[in-house]
Amino acid sequence: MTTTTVDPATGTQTLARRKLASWAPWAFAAGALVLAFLLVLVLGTPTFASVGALAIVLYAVGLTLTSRIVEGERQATDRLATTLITLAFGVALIPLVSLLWTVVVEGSKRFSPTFLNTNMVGSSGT
Amino acid sequence: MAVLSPTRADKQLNEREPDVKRNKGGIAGRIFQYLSVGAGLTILLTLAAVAVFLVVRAWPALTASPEELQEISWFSGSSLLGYVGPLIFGTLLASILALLIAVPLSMGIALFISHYAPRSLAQALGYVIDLLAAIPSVVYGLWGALWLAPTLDPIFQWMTDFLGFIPLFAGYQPPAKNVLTASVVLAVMILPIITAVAREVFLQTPRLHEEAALALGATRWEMVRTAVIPFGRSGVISASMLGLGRALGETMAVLMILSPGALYSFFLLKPGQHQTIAANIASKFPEASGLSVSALIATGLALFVITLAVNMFARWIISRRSEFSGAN
Repeated sequence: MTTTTVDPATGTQTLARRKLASWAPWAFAAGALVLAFLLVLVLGTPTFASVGALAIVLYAVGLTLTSRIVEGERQATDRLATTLITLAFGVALIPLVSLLWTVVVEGSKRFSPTFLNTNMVGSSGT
Repeated sequence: MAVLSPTRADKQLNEREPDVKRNKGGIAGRIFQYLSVGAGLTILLTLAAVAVFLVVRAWPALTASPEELQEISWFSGSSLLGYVGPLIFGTLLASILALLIAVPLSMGIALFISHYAPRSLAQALGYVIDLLAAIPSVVYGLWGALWLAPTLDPIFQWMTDFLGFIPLFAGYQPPAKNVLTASVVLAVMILPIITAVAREVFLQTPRLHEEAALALGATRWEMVRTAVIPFGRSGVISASMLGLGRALGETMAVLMILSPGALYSFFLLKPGQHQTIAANIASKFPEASGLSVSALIATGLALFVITLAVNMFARWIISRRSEFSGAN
């Protein structure tokens, strides 16, 4: 942290460390998605889940490694933690979305005024 | 932790406060005092009534000889203890697995909402997670059996193919009606409770601690690790215990997903190995009579004791560090 680096543009010494651009995570995300899609396309048929899972792994590894080389270890750990914490929130949305989806799609097949107005006593499964 | 203990100045401030207890506040104050004490006593009385009911109704099974118990058609094991044992094991196994899945995830979600998400979005995202608590457990059961089990099927197949040398993951048989699927559903069900408590505790981290960490040059993660997590630790522990209490008693979702068995088995992916106490009572009770009802109530007594112990343990942890916890 006390090391000084030489700014290549001006040739003067500066206390600021080299930093990834603020758009770097977005670029990595887009790149990981494309790469994951191509990889899965080569190995088999791409599905939403397989491409998504592979893209997340590629994004986490790629961004952390790049950050480690450019920015140093502490910043790399920080970026990995941000990725994992955001991922935890995303994982929690999977059951919520799929649950709502399942209930609405399966339920709408039978849901009608007839269903609500018919006495179900004595009826059994078909 | 020395930083977090109340300073001498704080204590002096507390001592100088007027004694609130001595001021009864006239008739209205006295009436309110009786009402609140009465409300508190009602809970204790209810708890005592439940305990008495369970012991009285379970007594015939507790005192019956093993020969009498063997006449119950579904009875397995040589004695009542031999029957309850695998059920307790299954209950604890499913709940602890659910906790192992839910606690790290909840901490991540809570940190995301409290420290990572944009301020304007954080509140709305918190409500989204709270929505998970509003879903009835029978709907969770349907979802687990109709969506989650087929979705987990290829993952479990992969686990037993490549990690099968670890006994835990050996011998998967589709459909995925095993204890791990049930635990995943239980984990989703206890996520919102743990997240809500952990989020509130993390939000109470003193701003000065966070800003001091950042001023020393800490990254956001280092700030979270050195200021937020140590402060919220006891809150997260008590939140986990509350979640465990809910997972132990969950009935419907487990009943609809788990293929039952009565073994002390660590094969997480095999069907027909485990059963939980609550799901077992729900499945056997409609056709039980006489001594078999007492046997089921005896298993309920065991569940009551376990749940009570877990919740008292959680309360004890909360009270130990009450001045820092948001869960009380």
